[in-house]
Amino acid sequence: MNFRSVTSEIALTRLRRLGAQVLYVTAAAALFAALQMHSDLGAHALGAALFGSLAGIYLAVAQRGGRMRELELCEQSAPLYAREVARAIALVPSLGVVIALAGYWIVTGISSGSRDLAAAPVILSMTCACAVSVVALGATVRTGVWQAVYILLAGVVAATIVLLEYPQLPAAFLFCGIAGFIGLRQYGEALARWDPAAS
Amino acid sequence: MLLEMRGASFHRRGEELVAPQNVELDDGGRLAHPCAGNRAAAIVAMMAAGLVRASDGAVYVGAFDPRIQPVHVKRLAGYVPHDALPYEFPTFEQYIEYRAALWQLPQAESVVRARYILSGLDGIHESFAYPLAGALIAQPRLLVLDRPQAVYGPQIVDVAKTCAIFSTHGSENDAARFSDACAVRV
Repeated sequence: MNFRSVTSEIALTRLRRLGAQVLYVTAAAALFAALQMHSDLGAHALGAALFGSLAGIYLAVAQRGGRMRELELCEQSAPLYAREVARAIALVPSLGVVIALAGYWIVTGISSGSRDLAAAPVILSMTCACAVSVVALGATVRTGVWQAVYILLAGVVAATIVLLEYPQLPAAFLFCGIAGFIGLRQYGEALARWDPAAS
Repeated sequence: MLLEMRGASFHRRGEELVAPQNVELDDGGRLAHPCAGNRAAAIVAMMAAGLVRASDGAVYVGAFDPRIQPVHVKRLAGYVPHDALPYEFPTFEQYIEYRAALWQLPQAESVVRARYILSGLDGIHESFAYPLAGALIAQPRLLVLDRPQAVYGPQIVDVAKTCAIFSTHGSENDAARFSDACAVRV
């Protein structure tokens, strides 16, 4: 008997469905890195964090809004707790931005040389983009003003992480963790209350 | 009692989309339920399958309240939507494997079962036959159909076997046509 985990099945199916968007975002990240080839490590770290955050918001918003109605209906009618579905869906934009930022840092490594690479900015840019995309997921289960508020909140999280990065690198990582955790809890609770009939 | 609705209604922003509904359906029973319109029929079907919570009144599926135990309700109910959704899987087998993973069923066995169910739905359009086969692989006790076509009635009853069938319809006429087609009580 071959069982597959719910999380991996939902995440991989949605990621396959978003394959083209992930590819575009990765290509854009690589192009952006090539344009920054004469910049220093600080500019690369800032660029990667902000570009990754924008990509994360885009991939998070692409999760809903009628683009994957059949998948949504299957997930809604399956005997799953909202937190399980929320965790699986949160993996999708997170994996998407990690792929895109991997493209960014590979091109940076090739174009600027290894002197412009360090572990902390690479990991922080990916962590920042993941946290921002998880916060932005809250916008997908809301409408009107609240949808805009959640997208704005995701932007504020990205800006805060970037501002914290230089003076306080550990604080930036801690903020990513807290924002991501609260964002995921909020998304899970909103998903549990979400009514397909109200959309 | 497998499905019970007592004055279950649905409101959105003060607007009543579904008037209070009273439904009783026993294990293995069949019921074609007429609603005030297509929108109401879609919402009543989702309420019976635990996808939508009633704003007022009570809904019980196998004694579980979807507002408190939606996961238990969804284990008992299989839901088939009315709308032909854009098909998001390259093959029927992949669609069934996906559903099997969500319902924590063995995938290979589910594909075999789904193919068998599909063979009984010969002539039914795939946009209805695939979700119906997908809903039945988990062997639900209650099959909830949102506005099924009367012409498919006999085949639906055939593949559902002992599973209770609750269908919603946009008008009395549609419900009567469906019940005539498959000898379901209205």
